[in-house]
Amino acid sequence: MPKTKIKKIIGFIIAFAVAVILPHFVGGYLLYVLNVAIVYAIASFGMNILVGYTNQMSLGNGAFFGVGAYVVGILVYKLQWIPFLVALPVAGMVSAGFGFIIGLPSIRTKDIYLAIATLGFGLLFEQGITNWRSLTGGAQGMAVAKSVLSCGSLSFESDIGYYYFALVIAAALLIVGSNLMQGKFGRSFRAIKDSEIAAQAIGINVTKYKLIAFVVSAFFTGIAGAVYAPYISYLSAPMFSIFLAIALLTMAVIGGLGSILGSILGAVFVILTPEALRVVGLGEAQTFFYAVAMIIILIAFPSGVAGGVYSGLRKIGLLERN
Amino acid sequence: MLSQLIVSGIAIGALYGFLGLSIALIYKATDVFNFAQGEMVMVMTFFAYTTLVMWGLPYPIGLLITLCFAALFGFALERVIIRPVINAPPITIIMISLALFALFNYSARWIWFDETKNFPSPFSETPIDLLGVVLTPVNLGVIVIACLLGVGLYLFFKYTKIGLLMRATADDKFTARLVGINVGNVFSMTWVLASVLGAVTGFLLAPITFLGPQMMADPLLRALAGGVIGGFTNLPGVVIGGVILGILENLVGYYISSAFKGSLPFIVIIVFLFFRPTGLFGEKMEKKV
Repeated sequence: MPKTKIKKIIGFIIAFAVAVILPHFVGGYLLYVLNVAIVYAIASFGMNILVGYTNQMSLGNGAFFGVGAYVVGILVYKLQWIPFLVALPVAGMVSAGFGFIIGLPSIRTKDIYLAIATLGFGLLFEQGITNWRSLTGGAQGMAVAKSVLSCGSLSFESDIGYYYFALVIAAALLIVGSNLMQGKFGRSFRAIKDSEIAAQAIGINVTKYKLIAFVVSAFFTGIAGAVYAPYISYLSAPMFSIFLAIALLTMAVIGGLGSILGSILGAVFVILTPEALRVVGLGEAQTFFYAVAMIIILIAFPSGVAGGVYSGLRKIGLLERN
Repeated sequence: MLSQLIVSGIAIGALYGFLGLSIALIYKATDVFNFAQGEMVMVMTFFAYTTLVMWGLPYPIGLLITLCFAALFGFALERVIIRPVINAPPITIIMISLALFALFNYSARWIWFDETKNFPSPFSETPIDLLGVVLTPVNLGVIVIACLLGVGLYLFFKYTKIGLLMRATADDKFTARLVGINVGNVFSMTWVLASVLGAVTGFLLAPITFLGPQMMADPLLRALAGGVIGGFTNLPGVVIGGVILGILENLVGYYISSAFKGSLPFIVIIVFLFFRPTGLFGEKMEKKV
C-alpha cells in the first residue's frame, strides 16, 4: 500500500472518531449550530456542482432547498402521506424535477442569462409559497413538528440524535457525490468548465451534462432542505429567498470552487462565523460580514480560503499532490 | 379601461426599462453585469428620503444632492471593488455583484429602517382628462420625463465627446486603447452615468410603489425580463423591452388573473432564453474559442 494511502486512511479514521465523539463535548446551542452546518454542507456541495464543477451560475438553489423543505412540511407533516425517511428521496426527486426545468435555459445560454433565469425561478418560488396559502400557510409560514424525525422506534428528535442522523445522511451523500465527481460525470463537468467548445470537440454531449449538473445539484440541495425542515420546525418563504442562494454561493466560494472538502469547510465557516459575531455582540451584522468576506476573497484569494488548508494537508500527506 | 391600462403600463414599464438600461450601459461598456444595480437605486432612494423628509430640504435641492451622491457612489464602487476584478471570468464578477446585492440590502436595513414607507411625490394627485383618457399626473410625468431622458441620452451618445468615447470603448476595448482612449476613465464615467440614471429611476419609482429595503426586488426582475425581451446588447431595445413587459403585465393582471401577473416575468425569461436568447433586437452572441 502506498504511504499516502495509509496516511489518508489514518486521516479518515481520526476524522471519523472526532465526528463520533464530538457531540459529547459540545452541547446545547453550539451543537445546534453544528447540526445546521452539517445540513448546509450538503447544500453547499450542491451549489458547488454547478458553480465550481461546471462553471454554471445558479441563483435558484435557495429555492431548491426550499422545495425539499416544503415537500417534508406538506407530505410528511401536513398531509401525512409518507413517513419522513421516504420523503427524503422524494424531496430530492421533486427538487431534481425543478432542476431540470430551470436547467433548460442552460442549453442555450450561460453566465448572466443563466443567472437571470435562475434568479427568476428563485423569486417565483417565494411568490408561489406566499400565494398558495391552503397548502403552505402563506406569509404566516408553516410549522413542522420535530416528532416526524423518527424511523420506527428510533427517534432523532434530540440534538445528539439529530447530529448522528444528519452526519450519516451528509456523509453518505458526499461520498456518493465524491465518486460521481471522480467518475465520468465529474470528468465531463470539468471538461465543460475548462472549455465548452473543447469538450464538445472531444465528444462530450455538453447540453446533456450541463442539464445533468442542474438535476444533480437540485437533488442534493433538495435533500438538504428536507433534512433541515423538521429540525428547524418552522418554514416560511423568506427563509428560501435569493439571500439563501447567495449564502450557498458564499459557502462554495469561501471553501474553494470544485472541491468537496471545500464545500464542507465553506458551510462550517459561513454558519459558525455569524454565531461567533453574535457572541461578541455583532449578531445583526452577519449578512454584512459574509458579503464583505466574499468580496475580499474573490478579489484576493481566487481559489478560496480552503486553498491554504489543502496545501497544509498536502504537506503532511493526507491529500494527494496535484 | 384598456387605454388606462396601457398608459400606466408604459409608465411603469419605462421605469423597468431605465433600470435595465443602467445595467445594460455598464454591461455593454465594461462587460460587468451588475446585479446590485437595483439595490444601488434602493440606497439612492433612501438617501433621497433622508434629504427630503428627515432633513426637510426643498425637492430640487434634495434631488441635486442625491444625484451628486449617486455620482460619487458609482465612481467609488467602480474604483474600489470592480476595477480590481475587471479581467476576472464573468462568473466571478457575477458573484461579486451578488455579494454587493446582499451588502447594500443589509446595510440599508442597518443604516435606515427595515419597513416600507411612502416617498414624497412631485406630482399632484388629481387625475387629468386627456382626449378621453383619464391619466394620473404621476403616470404622465413619468412618461414625459422618460421621453426627455431617452432623447437626452441619444443626443449624449451621438454628439458629445464623452458619448463617442463610451461608444468606441463599448465596441472594442483593445482598439479604443490603441487609439489613445483612457479606457479606465471611460469605465468610471459609465458607472457614474448609470448610477445617476438609477437615482432618477428611484425618484420616479418610489412614489408609485414604496420606499423600503425590498422596494427593488420586483422591479429588478422585471427590468431583467425587459432586458431579455429587448436583448441586453441593444440599449434602446432594453427600454422598449421594459415597456412591452409593463404593458403586458397590466393587461395580463386585468384580463387573466393577478396571480398569473406575478409569474409573467419568469415565464417571459424562460421562453425567451430558450427560443431567442439574444432578445428581439440584440446582436448574436459569438463564442470565443
